[in-house]
Amino acid sequence: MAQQALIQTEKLSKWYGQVIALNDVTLEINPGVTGLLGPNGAGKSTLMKVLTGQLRPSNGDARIFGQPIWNNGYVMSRIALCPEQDAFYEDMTAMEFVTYLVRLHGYTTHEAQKMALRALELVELTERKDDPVKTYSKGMRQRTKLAQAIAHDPDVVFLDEPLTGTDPVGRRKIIDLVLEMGDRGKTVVVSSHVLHEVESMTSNILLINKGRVIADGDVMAIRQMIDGHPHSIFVDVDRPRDFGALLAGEPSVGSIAFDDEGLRVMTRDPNPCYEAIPRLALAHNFKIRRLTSPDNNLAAVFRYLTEGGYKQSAGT
Amino acid sequence: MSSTAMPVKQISFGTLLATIFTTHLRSSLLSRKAIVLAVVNLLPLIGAILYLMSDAKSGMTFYKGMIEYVTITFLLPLTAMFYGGPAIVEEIEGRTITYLFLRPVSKPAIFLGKYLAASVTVAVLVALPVLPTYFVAVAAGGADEGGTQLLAQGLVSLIVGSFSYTAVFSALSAVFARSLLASILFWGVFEWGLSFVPVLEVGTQKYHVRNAGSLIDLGNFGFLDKMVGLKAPIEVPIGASYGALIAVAVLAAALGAVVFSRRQYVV
Repeated sequence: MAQQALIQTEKLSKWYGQVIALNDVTLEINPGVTGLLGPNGAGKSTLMKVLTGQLRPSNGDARIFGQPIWNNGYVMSRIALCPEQDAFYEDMTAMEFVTYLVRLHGYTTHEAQKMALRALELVELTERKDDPVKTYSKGMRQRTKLAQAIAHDPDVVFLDEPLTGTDPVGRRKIIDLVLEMGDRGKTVVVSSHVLHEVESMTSNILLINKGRVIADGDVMAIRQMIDGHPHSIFVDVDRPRDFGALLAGEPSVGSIAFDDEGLRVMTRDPNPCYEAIPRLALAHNFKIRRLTSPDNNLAAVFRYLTEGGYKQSAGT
Repeated sequence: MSSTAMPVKQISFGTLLATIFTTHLRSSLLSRKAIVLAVVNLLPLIGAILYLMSDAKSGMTFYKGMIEYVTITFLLPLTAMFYGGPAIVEEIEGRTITYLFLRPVSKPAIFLGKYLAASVTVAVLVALPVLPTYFVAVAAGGADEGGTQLLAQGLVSLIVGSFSYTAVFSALSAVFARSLLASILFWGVFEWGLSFVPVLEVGTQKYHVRNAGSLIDLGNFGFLDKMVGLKAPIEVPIGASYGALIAVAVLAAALGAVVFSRRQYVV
């Protein structure tokens, strides 16, 4: 008999008033890392909110461990979410914040402190753990959110755009952590609007657009489609013009444009380009504050998928 | 499927309630808002000190007036409004509610834990300044034998009133997910408006806090009372007023907890 998937939805729909955010979504997610890929506004966050019991389905069914999710304490005790929103009890320290949330899983203060400390070690935040969250950088706040998600050792972890605003080093740490959780047999669902980000964590993806899952399967097939489109990378760096001059010598870089906040690199070969940016910054002592990929690359692919008649199962 | 992978910890409602209560009480008491409202709640004390320095020397009359017309009429509902509503609304608007909903915590425990923390904060902020105000008033003269009893009754009625008002404002925030307008309407229209209407004033929390604190002057029989045909002021037993305040607190908290657990908050 076929084994039941860990996460299942059946004709799942979610409306916000007259706006449909999820439209008849049927999917199955099994242990390991799964990427949830789609442009901003595609419905990724809504799907995560329904799957983590933050929202009730308007129609259809969503289950984890074969159980309905909404107001289900059993499910809540075994899942976690690193939300996209930058929300905290700002006056708390990271240690207090994570300890408090672990205590709500029924652990004593002492147990919770030990678990919180371990989680903060994993995200490498121990040095600043006793400082108020309001004093943290964007990357540190992102890692604090991740720590609260993994501290109680959940079986299923949802990470909503976990790499947003992180620097290259922080990004690498988070990716390693996700890979390690997947290797340990955890079910990790990572959402992103950047294919490159998802690709660094898993080859198993769900493509979502306009509230529908439009493809699922292996990332290679999607990669072939996206490679046909120019890819842009935004780099917020000190001395952007000097860094731009340095980058111009890289064969993977197509063109470079500057704006008030940094520089925008266009490439048709993203992987070596993503590798070159931190390497050059490190070698020539540039400080990268932010490295993002706007979702226009993906939007182009989604236009192709939705208007070009692309059908389900990219891997087949 | 790994549904048998790990035993789930059994967590009692009381333990969760206590965890939420203690955590949010601490942050409530240490917040900037608490400092501002503590200063505002010192108004009666400042008034008492000024009174002490003046020539008029009827300290107890002054004390009663301050507690009845300043603390009970304005400071108590104002402080409860700033803590009761935001107890829930700040979690929703600040999007931190997500973290609480992601735990195996029953939603009533979240609501009640936060409501109790807000109520205790309100009680501390409102009732504590009454003590020095009383002693300054006594120093101004006019203290009689019943002074200490009046102080004790005033403190207890303010504490019970804190829980009652905060419950209503918390419930309104659970229902409307935005508290300020609903709270202002409740206080300004219902509480304030009815408090001037003979007979109907008995339906307000303000009346019962005053009555429980023995602050209603039965000799004060007004024109409106006579107009509606009352022969004598309405006399409600103090115990009944406590009962009414506790009933409002329990019912409003229960309503808020039920609404909060069923409602879906989009953050």
